[in-house]
Amino acid sequence: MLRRSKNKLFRTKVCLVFVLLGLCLLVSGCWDRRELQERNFVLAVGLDYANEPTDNKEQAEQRVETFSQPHGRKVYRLSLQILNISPTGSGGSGGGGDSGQKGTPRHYVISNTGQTMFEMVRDLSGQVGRSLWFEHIQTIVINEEILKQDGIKPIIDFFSRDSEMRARIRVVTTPGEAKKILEYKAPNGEPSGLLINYLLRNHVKNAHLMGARTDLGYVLQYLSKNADFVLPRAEIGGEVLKVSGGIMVKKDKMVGVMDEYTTQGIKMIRATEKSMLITVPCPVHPDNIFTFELFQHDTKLTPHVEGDQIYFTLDIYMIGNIGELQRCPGEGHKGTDLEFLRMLEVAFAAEVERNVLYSWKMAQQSKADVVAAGQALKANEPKTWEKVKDHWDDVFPTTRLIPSVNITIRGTGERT
Amino acid sequence: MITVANLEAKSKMSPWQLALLVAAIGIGTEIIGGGRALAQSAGEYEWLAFLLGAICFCGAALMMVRLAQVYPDQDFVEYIPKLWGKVLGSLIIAMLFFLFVGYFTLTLGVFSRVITIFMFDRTPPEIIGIAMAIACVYLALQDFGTILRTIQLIFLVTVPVFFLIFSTGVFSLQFDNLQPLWPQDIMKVMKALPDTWGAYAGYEIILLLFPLVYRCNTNPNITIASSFGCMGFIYIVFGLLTIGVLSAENAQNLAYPAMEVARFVELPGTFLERLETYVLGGWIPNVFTSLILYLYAPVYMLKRLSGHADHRPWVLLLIPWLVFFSTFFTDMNNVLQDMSKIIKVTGLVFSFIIIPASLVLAWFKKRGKDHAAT
Repeated sequence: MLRRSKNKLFRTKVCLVFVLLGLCLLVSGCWDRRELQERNFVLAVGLDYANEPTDNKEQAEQRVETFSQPHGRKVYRLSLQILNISPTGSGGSGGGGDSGQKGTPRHYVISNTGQTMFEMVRDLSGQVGRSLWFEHIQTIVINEEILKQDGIKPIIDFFSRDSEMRARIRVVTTPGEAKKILEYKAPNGEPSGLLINYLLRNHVKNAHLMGARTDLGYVLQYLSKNADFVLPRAEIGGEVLKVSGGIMVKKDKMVGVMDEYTTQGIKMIRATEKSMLITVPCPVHPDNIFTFELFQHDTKLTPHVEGDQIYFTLDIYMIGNIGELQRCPGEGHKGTDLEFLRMLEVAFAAEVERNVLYSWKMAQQSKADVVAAGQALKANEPKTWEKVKDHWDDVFPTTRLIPSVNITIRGTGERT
Repeated sequence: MITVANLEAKSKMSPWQLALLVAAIGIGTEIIGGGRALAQSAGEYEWLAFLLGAICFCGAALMMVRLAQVYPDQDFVEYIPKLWGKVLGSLIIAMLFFLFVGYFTLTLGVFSRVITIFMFDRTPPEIIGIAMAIACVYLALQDFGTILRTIQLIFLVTVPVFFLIFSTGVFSLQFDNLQPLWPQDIMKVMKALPDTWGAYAGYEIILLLFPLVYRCNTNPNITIASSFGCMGFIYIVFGLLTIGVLSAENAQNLAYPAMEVARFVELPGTFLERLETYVLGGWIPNVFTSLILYLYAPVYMLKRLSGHADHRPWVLLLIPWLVFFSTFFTDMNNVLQDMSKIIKVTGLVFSFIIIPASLVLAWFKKRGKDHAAT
């Protein structure tokens, strides 16, 4: 009896052991997990044409970094800026610049040549020890030659299809080599991919930065709508990297460059500015400049149709402060002088009108509706839009803009 | 005195609970899986199509309520053969059965693919489908009272969370994309109405569950209309955000526009990003509640047809086939597309031809009876 009971107990224990072992299988965690340090975080992507190598070293590098393609040609050079988060690469800035504690770089650039982005990305795994991870990509830098010749469509598809990509990736163009932008060593050691992303956030204060509605998600939207759009522009000169101005893209090809003044005007028409500075010379002493700082605005672009004529009115109401008054000779002008302030308001309003008309003209010259006039026509005059949408490219350059600007100076800062 | 729970009463429900089930079955896969087709057919007026769809399908649901009220103590499986005769009645019952089976397979198929793409890209969709099916089986094996209360809890907790997360898309809304707000050609929107059917589908469950509703003072017509009001509101917001954030042209080119809306969101001043994962977190329980009801409905019909008292063996018999059909075809995307078209046509025929015809027939029969009695 006792023996039978012991046997039963033994069997129960054996069963329990197997059940516990079985449970171990269930609590083993995520089978396809990958630790943070096992990933190569891609911070930025650079796209250039795959040019012929200029010297033996370049030739050797290009031969090794690329791969044999069953189809297509070596059209593009894809460069990736990778963050090094391994223990040797992530600590401090002891090495200065882009180096870690033990001299290993905190970020580095690898590149490859080919035709399709995906093929190049996959082949780049042959140059890195850990898998490439695109979830935290910050910036895509595109060489302007590609945008002029091939357009953006052939290169952007990969970034729109892969679920690792984000809609908020910054898309920036450069007249020079995109790879050089990725290799740029910022004074604080920050990777340029991050730097560009962060500095484009300053578009709310800096009217020269075309940072609003230029992310990857918006670019894909413009391409789907067959709309014209603008992209910010980055350039390196000597040791300086700067993003300012932009380029105009018609459908998917680059058709023009915008300087800071044009950029500012386009932002005003599209009402994407949050704050900006408007400067006018003193009517009495033209060498001295007065500056208005915009705080708040209400902008409306309205289309009007009269017979076959389409024209637009742009109503802008701005509120802001006197930001800077260069002191004129003698006693100078006083912020407490209401007559002077009214005169300034009129002068600033005239300057805004001049700016928006200039930018409108620049867009018309490029035949690129980067001011979203077509969108306004579609929204407000849908019947007219249906008639002209197929030849809008020809109609837009003939349209007139009538701006009406009203400025209120709310304060003069902490000085009179 | 000994107090015991009234277990019979557990299987009964109030008209508001029936409305909740109708909303729970409707808010499911379509909110993620749909959107593209409607953006193609309705363009900027997706929100209007959802609004008109809500009115239209609410009308169909109210007809079902009316039909069920003609036979208050019987369910669809019982009274349809009396109305249409044995052969036609059986065909109609088979049609309803096919509808629910189709809903389940389609929903599970879309669900497993979405999860594979956005959450577990290296896990085969079959595994995800099987895991979800197991969860559904677990709940479907309970009595109806447990199923009802579980759905109630999940619905009330997760729908607001899902809606809240998805609503963050308003930060990226561009009003320009929605303009002109009113269409030039309303017929274009009317033509898009059938595409909204998937968003509200599943309300046919009223036909099966209506006998379980307490006869109390609450008018079931009002509760069902409220349910469509709730669904309509959610879908209209969904339509406005999808088109407002992405534009109609862009939404047409995306496999899952709703996920792209969530991906667009950048919450100012927070560390939260990639909201699509959170959207999925709120979406999965909603799919679960839909799937449970899609599974319970055919099982309930089999139970009633076979005269069994217990629905559970039918759950276990049916589920392997459903999982097989929803996941194991190699060209699953094509199968899902074709399946979706067939189910849509069947569902529309059922709602707008068979139910009105049944209702008219039922009224005539009732009038004939009343006439004979007088």
